[in-house]
Amino acid sequence: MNVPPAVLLVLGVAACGAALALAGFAWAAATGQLDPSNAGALTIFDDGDDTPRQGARR
Amino acid sequence: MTSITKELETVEFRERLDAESAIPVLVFLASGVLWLLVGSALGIIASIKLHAPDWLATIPQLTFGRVRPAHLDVVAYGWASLAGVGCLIWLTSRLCKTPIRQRGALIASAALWNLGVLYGTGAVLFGYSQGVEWLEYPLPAAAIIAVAFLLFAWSILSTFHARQAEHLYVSLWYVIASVVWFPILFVVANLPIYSGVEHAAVNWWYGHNALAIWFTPIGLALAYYMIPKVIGRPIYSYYLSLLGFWSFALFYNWNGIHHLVGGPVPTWLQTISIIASVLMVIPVMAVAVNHHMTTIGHFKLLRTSPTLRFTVFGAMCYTAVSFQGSAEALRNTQEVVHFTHYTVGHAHLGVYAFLSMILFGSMYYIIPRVTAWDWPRPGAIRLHFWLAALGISLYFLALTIGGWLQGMAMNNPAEPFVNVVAGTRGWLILRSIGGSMMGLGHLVFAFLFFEMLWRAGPRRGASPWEDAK
Repeated sequence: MNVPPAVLLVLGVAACGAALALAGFAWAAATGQLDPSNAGALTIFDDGDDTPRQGARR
Repeated sequence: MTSITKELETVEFRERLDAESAIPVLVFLASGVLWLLVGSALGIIASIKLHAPDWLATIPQLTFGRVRPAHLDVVAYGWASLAGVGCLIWLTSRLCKTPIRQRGALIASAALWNLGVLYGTGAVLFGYSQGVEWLEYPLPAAAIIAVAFLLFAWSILSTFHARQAEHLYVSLWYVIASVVWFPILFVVANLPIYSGVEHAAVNWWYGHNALAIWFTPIGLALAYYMIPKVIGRPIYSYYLSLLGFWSFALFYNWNGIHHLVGGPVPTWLQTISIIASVLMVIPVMAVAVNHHMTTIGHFKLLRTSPTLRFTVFGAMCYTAVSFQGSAEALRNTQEVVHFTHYTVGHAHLGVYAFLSMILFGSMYYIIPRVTAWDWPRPGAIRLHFWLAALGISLYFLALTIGGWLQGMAMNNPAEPFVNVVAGTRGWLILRSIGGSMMGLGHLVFAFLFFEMLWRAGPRRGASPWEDAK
Protein backbone atom coordinates (compact mmCIF):
# COMPACT_ATOMS: atom_id res chain seq x y z
CA MET A 1 0.00 0.00 0.00
CA ASN A 2 1.35 3.41 -0.96
CA VAL A 3 1.02 5.64 2.10
CA PRO A 4 1.74 9.32 1.40
CA PRO A 5 4.75 10.66 3.38
CA ALA A 6 2.61 13.43 4.90
CA VAL A 7 0.25 10.84 6.40
CA LEU A 8 3.26 9.01 7.86
CA LEU A 9 4.49 12.29 9.33
CA VAL A 10 1.16 13.10 10.99
CA LEU A 11 0.81 9.53 12.29
CA GLY A 12 4.39 9.72 13.60
CA VAL A 13 3.69 12.97 15.39
CA ALA A 14 0.49 11.50 16.86
CA ALA A 15 2.40 8.43 18.06
CA CYS A 16 5.11 10.60 19.65
CA GLY A 17 2.38 12.69 21.31
CA ALA A 18 0.71 9.56 22.69
CA ALA A 19 4.08 8.28 23.98
CA LEU A 20 4.72 11.65 25.61
CA ALA A 21 1.29 11.58 27.28
CA LEU A 22 1.87 8.04 28.56
CA ALA A 23 5.29 9.04 29.90
CA GLY A 24 3.66 12.02 31.64
CA PHE A 25 1.04 9.79 33.18
CA ALA A 26 3.66 7.29 34.39
CA TRP A 27 5.73 10.13 35.88
CA ALA A 28 2.65 11.59 37.60
CA ALA A 29 1.76 8.22 39.10
CA ALA A 30 5.36 7.54 40.21
CA THR A 31 5.75 10.94 41.93
CA GLY A 32 2.46 10.80 43.82
CA GLN A 33 0.76 13.55 41.79
CA LEU A 34 -2.33 11.36 41.35
CA ASP A 35 -3.10 11.29 45.05
CA PRO A 36 -6.84 10.48 45.28
CA SER A 37 -7.33 12.63 48.40
CA ASN A 38 -8.51 16.23 48.02
CA ALA A 39 -5.28 17.57 49.58
CA GLY A 40 -4.00 18.88 46.24
CA ALA A 41 -7.00 21.19 45.97
CA LEU A 42 -5.81 23.13 49.02
CA THR A 43 -2.43 24.06 47.57
CA ILE A 44 -3.71 27.29 46.02
CA PHE A 45 -4.77 28.66 49.39
CA ASP A 46 -1.38 29.01 51.07
CA ASP A 47 -0.22 32.30 49.54
CA GLY A 48 -2.06 34.78 51.78
CA ASP A 49 -4.25 35.95 48.90
CA ASP A 50 -7.44 34.30 50.03
CA THR A 51 -8.43 36.13 53.21
CA PRO A 52 -12.04 37.11 52.59
CA ARG A 53 -12.47 40.84 52.89
CA GLN A 54 -15.79 42.59 53.28
CA GLY A 55 -16.83 44.26 50.05
CA ALA A 56 -13.61 43.33 48.26
CA ARG A 57 -13.84 43.23 44.49
CA ARG A 58 -11.99 40.05 43.64
CA MET B 1 8.58 32.60 64.29
CA THR B 2 4.98 33.55 65.11
CA SER B 3 2.18 32.53 62.78
CA ILE B 4 1.50 36.20 61.90
CA THR B 5 5.18 36.76 60.96
CA LYS B 6 5.13 33.63 58.85
CA GLU B 7 1.93 34.74 57.14
CA LEU B 8 3.38 38.18 56.42
CA GLU B 9 6.42 36.52 54.84
CA THR B 10 4.07 34.43 52.72
CA VAL B 11 2.22 37.56 51.60
CA GLU B 12 5.48 39.38 50.81
CA PHE B 13 6.73 36.39 48.79
CA ARG B 14 3.49 36.17 46.82
CA GLU B 15 3.59 39.91 46.12
CA ARG B 16 7.18 39.55 44.92
CA LEU B 17 6.08 36.80 42.51
CA ASP B 18 3.33 39.07 41.14
CA ALA B 19 5.69 42.05 40.87
CA GLU B 20 8.36 40.07 39.02
CA SER B 21 5.89 38.81 36.44
CA ALA B 22 4.23 42.25 36.05
CA ILE B 23 6.05 43.61 32.99
CA PRO B 24 5.77 40.54 30.72
CA VAL B 25 2.19 39.94 31.90
CA LEU B 26 1.14 43.53 31.15
CA VAL B 27 2.94 43.60 27.80
CA PHE B 28 1.08 40.47 26.65
CA LEU B 29 -2.26 41.61 28.07
CA ALA B 30 -2.00 45.11 26.57
CA SER B 31 -1.14 43.58 23.17
CA GLY B 32 -4.11 41.23 23.52
CA VAL B 33 -6.50 44.08 24.30
CA LEU B 34 -5.33 46.09 21.27
CA TRP B 35 -5.80 43.08 18.98
CA LEU B 36 -9.23 42.52 20.54
CA LEU B 37 -10.29 45.95 19.30
CA VAL B 38 -8.88 45.28 15.80
CA GLY B 39 -10.48 41.82 15.70
CA SER B 40 -13.84 43.20 16.83
CA ALA B 41 -13.82 45.85 14.10
CA LEU B 42 -12.96 43.25 11.44
CA GLY B 43 -15.65 40.89 12.80
CA ILE B 44 -18.36 43.55 12.73
CA ILE B 45 -17.41 44.58 9.17
CA ALA B 46 -17.53 40.92 8.03
CA SER B 47 -20.86 40.39 9.78
CA ILE B 48 -22.52 43.46 8.25
CA LYS B 49 -21.31 42.43 4.79
CA LEU B 50 -23.34 39.24 5.07
CA HIS B 51 -26.60 41.21 4.99
CA ALA B 52 -25.34 44.35 3.20
CA PRO B 53 -22.88 42.90 0.66
CA ASP B 54 -22.33 46.16 -1.23
CA TRP B 55 -20.97 47.96 1.83
CA LEU B 56 -17.23 48.71 1.39
CA ALA B 57 -17.26 46.42 -1.63
CA THR B 58 -15.04 48.76 -3.66
CA ILE B 59 -12.10 48.43 -1.27
CA PRO B 60 -10.29 45.16 -2.08
CA GLN B 61 -8.71 44.92 1.41
CA LEU B 62 -12.16 45.02 3.01
CA THR B 63 -13.95 42.45 0.86
CA PHE B 64 -15.59 39.60 2.80
CA GLY B 65 -13.11 36.96 1.61
CA ARG B 66 -10.26 38.88 3.26
CA VAL B 67 -11.93 40.51 6.27
CA ARG B 68 -13.46 37.31 7.58
CA PRO B 69 -10.20 35.28 7.79
CA ALA B 70 -8.37 38.37 9.07
CA HIS B 71 -10.97 38.58 11.90
CA LEU B 72 -10.52 34.91 12.77
CA ASP B 73 -6.72 35.13 12.78
CA VAL B 74 -6.59 38.37 14.78
CA VAL B 75 -8.88 37.09 17.53
CA ALA B 76 -7.17 33.67 17.60
CA TYR B 77 -3.47 34.60 17.35
CA GLY B 78 -3.78 38.19 18.55
CA TRP B 79 -6.41 38.54 21.26
CA ALA B 80 -6.98 35.04 22.66
CA SER B 81 -3.38 33.84 22.40
CA LEU B 82 -1.66 36.98 23.68
CA ALA B 83 -4.11 37.56 26.53
CA GLY B 84 -3.98 33.83 27.31
CA VAL B 85 -0.17 33.87 27.42
CA GLY B 86 -0.23 36.89 29.74
CA CYS B 87 -2.57 35.09 32.15
CA LEU B 88 -0.59 31.82 31.95
CA ILE B 89 2.70 33.57 32.80
CA TRP B 90 1.16 34.94 35.99
CA LEU B 91 -0.57 31.67 36.82
CA THR B 92 2.55 29.55 36.31
CA SER B 93 4.59 31.77 38.62
CA ARG B 94 1.88 31.56 41.28
CA LEU B 95 1.40 27.80 41.02
CA CYS B 96 5.12 26.97 40.86
CA LYS B 97 5.73 29.40 43.74
CA THR B 98 8.71 30.64 41.74
CA PRO B 99 9.51 33.98 40.09
CA ILE B 100 8.92 33.71 36.36
CA ARG B 101 12.09 32.74 34.49
CA GLN B 102 13.49 34.10 31.21
CA ARG B 103 11.72 37.45 31.41
CA GLY B 104 13.85 38.83 28.56
CA ALA B 105 12.76 35.93 26.36
CA LEU B 106 9.13 36.73 27.21
CA ILE B 107 9.51 40.34 26.10
CA ALA B 108 11.17 39.14 22.87
CA SER B 109 8.32 36.65 22.49
CA ALA B 110 5.69 39.40 22.84
CA ALA B 111 7.49 41.58 20.26
CA LEU B 112 7.81 38.71 17.76
CA TRP B 113 4.23 37.56 18.35
CA ASN B 114 2.88 41.04 17.63
CA LEU B 115 5.09 41.28 14.56
CA GLY B 116 3.82 37.89 13.32
CA VAL B 117 0.16 38.84 13.80
CA LEU B 118 0.69 42.26 12.18
CA TYR B 119 2.52 40.77 9.19
CA GLY B 120 0.11 37.86 8.82
CA THR B 121 -3.04 39.96 9.09
CA GLY B 122 -1.67 42.59 6.71
CA ALA B 123 -0.81 39.84 4.24
CA VAL B 124 -4.32 38.33 4.45
CA LEU B 125 -5.95 41.75 3.95
CA PHE B 126 -3.73 42.41 0.90
CA GLY B 127 -4.60 39.04 -0.62
CA TYR B 128 -1.54 36.98 0.32
CA SER B 129 -3.34 34.22 2.20
CA GLN B 130 -2.49 30.52 2.23
CA GLY B 131 -6.22 29.91 1.72
CA VAL B 132 -6.44 27.32 4.51
CA GLU B 133 -8.85 28.07 7.37
CA TRP B 134 -7.02 28.90 10.62
CA LEU B 135 -3.72 28.74 8.68
CA GLU B 136 -4.18 31.75 6.40
CA TYR B 137 -1.00 33.51 7.51
CA PRO B 138 1.89 33.20 5.03
CA LEU B 139 4.68 30.89 6.17
CA PRO B 140 7.11 33.64 7.29
CA ALA B 141 4.42 35.09 9.61
CA ALA B 142 3.63 31.62 10.97
CA ALA B 143 7.35 30.99 11.50
CA ILE B 144 7.69 34.24 13.48
CA ILE B 145 4.75 33.20 15.70
CA ALA B 146 6.26 29.72 16.14
CA VAL B 147 9.55 31.24 17.39
CA ALA B 148 7.59 33.54 19.73
CA PHE B 149 5.70 30.54 21.09
CA LEU B 150 8.91 28.59 21.67
CA LEU B 151 10.38 31.51 23.65
CA PHE B 152 7.21 31.60 25.79
CA ALA B 153 7.34 27.81 26.24
CA TRP B 154 11.02 28.08 27.27
CA SER B 155 10.08 30.53 30.02
CA ILE B 156 7.18 28.42 31.28
CA LEU B 157 9.18 25.18 31.26
CA SER B 158 12.17 26.88 32.95
CA THR B 159 9.89 28.19 35.68
CA PHE B 160 8.30 24.76 36.02
CA HIS B 161 11.75 23.15 36.26
CA ALA B 162 12.76 25.58 39.05
CA ARG B 163 9.44 25.25 40.89
CA GLN B 164 9.34 25.41 44.67
CA ALA B 165 5.84 23.94 44.90
CA GLU B 166 5.81 20.24 45.66
CA HIS B 167 2.35 19.52 44.36
CA LEU B 168 1.28 20.28 40.80
CA TYR B 169 -2.16 21.89 41.00
CA VAL B 170 -4.52 20.73 38.23
CA SER B 171 -4.28 24.07 36.38
CA LEU B 172 -0.56 23.48 35.96
CA TRP B 173 -1.25 20.18 34.19
CA TYR B 174 -3.22 22.02 31.54
CA VAL B 175 -0.60 24.78 31.21
CA ILE B 176 2.36 22.44 30.81
CA ALA B 177 0.46 20.14 28.43
CA SER B 178 -0.58 23.02 26.18
CA VAL B 179 2.91 24.56 25.91
CA VAL B 180 4.28 21.15 24.88
CA TRP B 181 1.43 20.20 22.54
CA PHE B 182 0.68 23.42 20.69
CA PRO B 183 4.09 24.19 19.12
CA ILE B 184 4.25 20.63 17.72
CA LEU B 185 0.76 21.02 16.25
CA PHE B 186 1.40 24.51 14.85
CA VAL B 187 4.70 23.63 13.19
CA VAL B 188 3.54 20.30 11.72
CA ALA B 189 0.31 21.80 10.35
CA ASN B 190 2.20 24.67 8.71
CA LEU B 191 4.69 22.44 6.87
CA PRO B 192 4.30 23.06 3.12
CA ILE B 193 4.10 19.37 2.21
CA TYR B 194 0.36 18.64 2.01
CA SER B 195 -2.04 18.65 -0.90
CA GLY B 196 -5.58 17.68 -1.80
CA VAL B 197 -7.71 15.69 0.61
CA GLU B 198 -4.69 15.05 2.78
CA HIS B 199 -4.37 18.82 3.25
CA ALA B 200 -8.04 19.06 4.23
CA ALA B 201 -7.54 16.37 6.88
CA VAL B 202 -4.43 18.10 8.28
CA ASN B 203 -6.26 21.43 8.11
CA TRP B 204 -9.08 20.27 10.40
CA TRP B 205 -6.79 18.20 12.58
CA TYR B 206 -5.09 21.56 13.22
CA GLY B 207 -8.22 23.77 13.24
CA HIS B 208 -9.99 21.79 15.92
CA ASN B 209 -6.85 21.12 17.91
CA ALA B 210 -6.04 24.84 18.07
CA LEU B 211 -9.21 24.99 20.19
CA ALA B 212 -8.62 21.67 21.88
CA ILE B 213 -5.02 21.80 23.01
CA TRP B 214 -4.33 25.51 23.13
CA PHE B 215 -7.44 27.58 23.88
CA THR B 216 -9.32 25.05 26.00
CA PRO B 217 -6.40 24.35 28.37
CA ILE B 218 -5.97 28.11 28.85
CA GLY B 219 -9.63 28.50 29.79
CA LEU B 220 -9.78 25.43 32.02
CA ALA B 221 -6.49 26.20 33.79
CA LEU B 222 -7.75 29.68 34.64
CA ALA B 223 -11.25 28.50 35.65
CA TYR B 224 -9.82 25.79 37.93
CA TYR B 225 -7.80 28.50 39.67
CA MET B 226 -10.18 31.47 39.71
CA ILE B 227 -13.43 29.81 40.81
CA PRO B 228 -12.13 28.17 44.03
CA LYS B 229 -9.78 31.08 44.73
CA VAL B 230 -12.46 33.78 44.62
CA ILE B 231 -15.02 31.70 46.48
CA GLY B 232 -12.41 30.64 49.05
CA ARG B 233 -13.42 26.98 48.80
CA PRO B 234 -11.35 24.12 47.35
CA ILE B 235 -12.47 22.45 44.15
CA TYR B 236 -15.27 19.95 44.83
CA SER B 237 -13.40 16.80 43.77
CA TYR B 238 -9.74 17.08 42.99
CA TYR B 239 -9.60 13.47 41.84
CA LEU B 240 -12.37 14.17 39.33
CA SER B 241 -10.32 17.07 37.98
CA LEU B 242 -7.38 14.73 37.32
CA LEU B 243 -9.69 12.21 35.64
CA GLY B 244 -10.98 15.11 33.55
CA PHE B 245 -7.46 16.10 32.51
CA TRP B 246 -6.32 12.65 31.44
CA SER B 247 -9.51 11.80 29.57
CA PHE B 248 -9.28 15.23 27.91
CA ALA B 249 -5.69 14.40 26.86
CA LEU B 250 -6.79 11.03 25.51
CA PHE B 251 -9.90 11.98 23.52
CA TYR B 252 -9.77 15.61 22.44
CA ASN B 253 -7.04 15.54 19.79
CA TRP B 254 -8.96 12.97 17.69
CA ASN B 255 -11.95 15.28 17.17
CA GLY B 256 -10.87 17.38 14.19
CA ILE B 257 -12.04 15.19 11.32
CA HIS B 258 -15.67 15.61 12.41
CA HIS B 259 -15.43 18.88 10.43
CA LEU B 260 -15.18 16.73 7.30
CA VAL B 261 -18.12 14.38 7.95
CA GLY B 262 -19.68 13.68 4.57
CA GLY B 263 -16.54 14.86 2.80
CA PRO B 264 -14.11 12.87 0.63
CA VAL B 265 -12.02 11.47 3.49
CA PRO B 266 -12.03 7.80 4.55
CA THR B 267 -15.19 6.84 6.46
CA TRP B 268 -13.19 5.08 9.20
CA LEU B 269 -11.34 8.33 9.87
CA GLN B 270 -14.64 10.22 10.24
CA THR B 271 -16.06 7.49 12.48
CA ILE B 272 -13.06 7.55 14.84
CA SER B 273 -13.46 11.30 15.11
CA ILE B 274 -17.19 11.06 15.83
CA ILE B 275 -16.57 8.44 18.55
CA ALA B 276 -13.85 10.58 20.14
CA SER B 277 -16.15 13.62 20.00
CA VAL B 278 -18.86 11.72 21.88
CA LEU B 279 -16.32 10.40 24.40
CA MET B 280 -15.51 14.03 25.22
CA VAL B 281 -18.63 13.87 27.38
CA ILE B 282 -16.42 12.23 30.06
CA PRO B 283 -13.92 15.07 30.65
CA VAL B 284 -16.63 17.67 30.14
CA MET B 285 -18.83 16.07 32.80
CA ALA B 286 -15.85 15.97 35.16
CA VAL B 287 -15.21 19.68 34.68
CA ALA B 288 -18.90 20.63 34.77
CA VAL B 289 -19.61 18.71 37.99
CA ASN B 290 -16.51 20.16 39.63
CA HIS B 291 -17.20 23.76 38.72
CA HIS B 292 -20.88 23.60 39.52
CA MET B 293 -20.46 21.81 42.84
CA THR B 294 -17.71 24.27 43.85
CA THR B 295 -19.85 27.29 43.00
CA ILE B 296 -23.15 26.01 44.40
CA GLY B 297 -24.25 27.97 47.46
CA HIS B 298 -22.00 30.91 46.50
CA PHE B 299 -23.87 32.37 43.56
CA LYS B 300 -24.45 35.60 45.50
CA LEU B 301 -20.74 36.34 45.06
CA LEU B 302 -21.42 36.83 41.34
CA ARG B 303 -22.88 40.21 42.27
CA THR B 304 -19.69 41.52 43.87
CA SER B 305 -16.91 39.71 42.02
CA PRO B 306 -16.39 40.54 38.34
CA THR B 307 -13.84 37.73 38.17
CA LEU B 308 -16.38 35.17 39.31
CA ARG B 309 -19.16 36.64 37.16
CA PHE B 310 -17.14 36.32 33.95
CA THR B 311 -15.46 33.03 34.89
CA VAL B 312 -18.62 31.20 35.94
CA PHE B 313 -20.36 32.41 32.77
CA GLY B 314 -17.40 31.06 30.77
CA ALA B 315 -17.33 27.75 32.65
CA MET B 316 -21.06 27.21 32.06
CA CYS B 317 -20.56 27.94 28.37
CA TYR B 318 -17.69 25.42 28.27
CA THR B 319 -20.16 22.74 29.32
CA ALA B 320 -22.71 23.97 26.78
CA VAL B 321 -20.30 24.23 23.85
CA SER B 322 -18.77 20.83 24.57
CA PHE B 323 -22.09 18.99 24.71
CA GLN B 324 -23.20 20.85 21.62
CA GLY B 325 -19.94 19.84 19.91
CA SER B 326 -20.46 16.16 20.74
CA ALA B 327 -23.99 16.29 19.32
CA GLU B 328 -22.90 18.33 16.31
CA ALA B 329 -20.30 15.70 15.34
CA LEU B 330 -23.00 13.07 14.73
CA ARG B 331 -23.76 12.33 11.08
CA ASN B 332 -27.48 13.06 11.43
CA THR B 333 -26.79 16.51 12.87
CA GLN B 334 -24.12 17.23 10.26
CA GLU B 335 -26.63 16.51 7.51
CA VAL B 336 -28.48 19.63 8.63
CA VAL B 337 -25.87 22.00 10.02
CA HIS B 338 -22.91 21.50 7.69
CA PHE B 339 -22.15 24.61 5.59
CA THR B 340 -24.58 26.72 7.65
CA HIS B 341 -24.27 29.63 10.08
CA TYR B 342 -24.99 27.17 12.93
CA THR B 343 -21.29 26.17 13.02
CA VAL B 344 -20.24 29.82 13.31
CA GLY B 345 -22.50 30.18 16.36
CA HIS B 346 -20.91 27.07 17.89
CA ALA B 347 -17.39 28.43 17.28
CA HIS B 348 -18.26 31.71 18.99
CA LEU B 349 -19.79 29.88 21.93
CA GLY B 350 -16.37 28.28 22.37
CA VAL B 351 -13.88 31.03 21.65
CA TYR B 352 -15.96 33.90 23.01
CA ALA B 353 -18.56 32.75 25.55
CA PHE B 354 -16.19 30.20 27.08
CA LEU B 355 -12.61 31.36 26.53
CA SER B 356 -12.87 35.14 26.17
CA MET B 357 -15.22 35.49 29.14
CA ILE B 358 -12.78 33.52 31.32
CA LEU B 359 -9.91 35.67 30.01
CA PHE B 360 -11.83 38.84 30.94
CA GLY B 361 -12.58 37.44 34.41
CA SER B 362 -8.98 36.41 34.95
CA MET B 363 -7.68 39.79 33.83
CA TYR B 364 -9.99 41.49 36.35
CA TYR B 365 -8.26 39.35 39.00
CA ILE B 366 -4.66 39.47 37.77
CA ILE B 367 -4.17 43.10 36.78
CA PRO B 368 -4.79 44.63 40.25
CA ARG B 369 -2.30 42.13 41.67
CA VAL B 370 0.50 42.91 39.23
CA THR B 371 -0.04 46.68 39.24
CA ALA B 372 -0.95 47.03 42.95
CA TRP B 373 -3.83 49.31 41.86
CA ASP B 374 -7.51 48.52 41.90
CA TRP B 375 -10.03 48.84 39.08
CA PRO B 376 -11.82 52.16 38.68
CA ARG B 377 -15.53 52.37 37.80
CA PRO B 378 -17.31 49.22 39.04
CA GLY B 379 -20.31 50.38 36.98
CA ALA B 380 -18.26 50.20 33.78
CA ILE B 381 -17.17 46.64 34.67
CA ARG B 382 -20.83 45.67 35.04
CA LEU B 383 -21.59 47.36 31.71
CA HIS B 384 -18.78 45.38 30.07
CA PHE B 385 -20.19 42.13 31.45
CA TRP B 386 -23.75 42.75 30.32
CA LEU B 387 -22.76 43.97 26.85
CA ALA B 388 -20.56 40.89 26.39
CA ALA B 389 -23.01 38.39 27.92
CA LEU B 390 -26.13 39.69 26.18
CA GLY B 391 -24.22 40.29 22.94
CA ILE B 392 -22.89 36.74 22.69
CA SER B 393 -26.26 35.30 23.77
CA LEU B 394 -28.07 37.16 20.99
CA TYR B 395 -25.32 36.24 18.52
CA PHE B 396 -25.39 32.56 19.45
CA LEU B 397 -29.18 32.20 19.47
CA ALA B 398 -29.56 34.01 16.14
CA LEU B 399 -26.99 31.82 14.38
CA THR B 400 -28.14 28.59 16.05
CA ILE B 401 -31.81 29.03 15.14
CA GLY B 402 -31.11 30.74 11.82
CA GLY B 403 -28.41 28.20 10.91
CA TRP B 404 -30.67 25.24 11.67
CA LEU B 405 -33.51 26.68 9.57
CA GLN B 406 -30.99 27.40 6.81
CA GLY B 407 -29.79 23.77 6.91
CA MET B 408 -33.35 22.41 6.80
CA ALA B 409 -34.14 24.65 3.84
CA MET B 410 -30.96 23.64 2.00
CA ASN B 411 -31.91 19.99 2.39
CA ASN B 412 -35.23 20.68 0.65
CA PRO B 413 -34.63 20.22 -3.10
CA ALA B 414 -37.82 22.13 -3.91
CA GLU B 415 -36.52 25.28 -2.21
CA PRO B 416 -34.62 27.65 -4.56
CA PHE B 417 -31.19 28.46 -3.13
CA VAL B 418 -31.77 32.20 -3.40
CA ASN B 419 -34.76 31.83 -1.04
CA VAL B 420 -32.52 30.06 1.47
CA VAL B 421 -30.05 32.94 1.33
CA ALA B 422 -32.81 35.54 1.68
CA GLY B 423 -34.25 33.60 4.64
CA THR B 424 -31.05 34.03 6.63
CA ARG B 425 -31.02 37.84 6.35
CA GLY B 426 -33.00 38.59 9.53
CA TRP B 427 -30.84 36.25 11.58
CA LEU B 428 -27.68 37.81 10.17
CA ILE B 429 -28.88 41.29 11.16
CA LEU B 430 -29.41 39.98 14.73
CA ARG B 431 -25.86 38.57 14.54
CA SER B 432 -24.52 42.02 13.65
CA ILE B 433 -26.41 43.58 16.56
CA GLY B 434 -25.02 40.97 18.97
CA GLY B 435 -21.51 41.40 17.57
CA SER B 436 -21.76 45.19 17.89
CA MET B 437 -22.81 44.84 21.53
CA MET B 438 -19.73 42.69 22.18
CA GLY B 439 -17.58 45.24 20.33
CA LEU B 440 -18.99 48.04 22.49
CA GLY B 441 -18.19 45.97 25.58
CA HIS B 442 -14.61 45.61 24.32
CA LEU B 443 -14.30 49.39 24.01
CA VAL B 444 -15.44 49.74 27.63
CA PHE B 445 -12.97 47.04 28.72
CA ALA B 446 -10.07 48.57 26.75
CA PHE B 447 -10.84 51.98 28.30
CA LEU B 448 -10.81 50.44 31.78
CA PHE B 449 -7.63 48.49 31.03
CA PHE B 450 -5.66 51.50 29.88
CA GLU B 451 -7.06 53.54 32.77
CA MET B 452 -5.56 50.86 35.04
CA LEU B 453 -2.19 51.33 33.38
CA TRP B 454 -2.54 55.07 34.10
CA ARG B 455 -3.48 54.20 37.70
CA ALA B 456 -6.89 55.85 37.57
CA GLY B 457 -8.35 53.61 40.27
CA PRO B 458 -7.68 53.46 44.00
CA ARG B 459 -4.39 52.07 45.29
CA ARG B 460 -4.72 48.44 46.21
CA GLY B 461 -4.03 47.46 49.82
CA ALA B 462 -0.57 45.90 49.90
CA SER B 463 -1.84 43.10 52.10
CA PRO B 464 -4.91 42.05 54.09
CA TRP B 465 -3.11 43.35 57.18
CA GLU B 466 -2.91 46.85 55.69
CA ASP B 467 -6.60 46.69 54.83
CA ALA B 468 -7.34 46.03 58.47
CA LYS B 469 -5.49 49.17 59.59
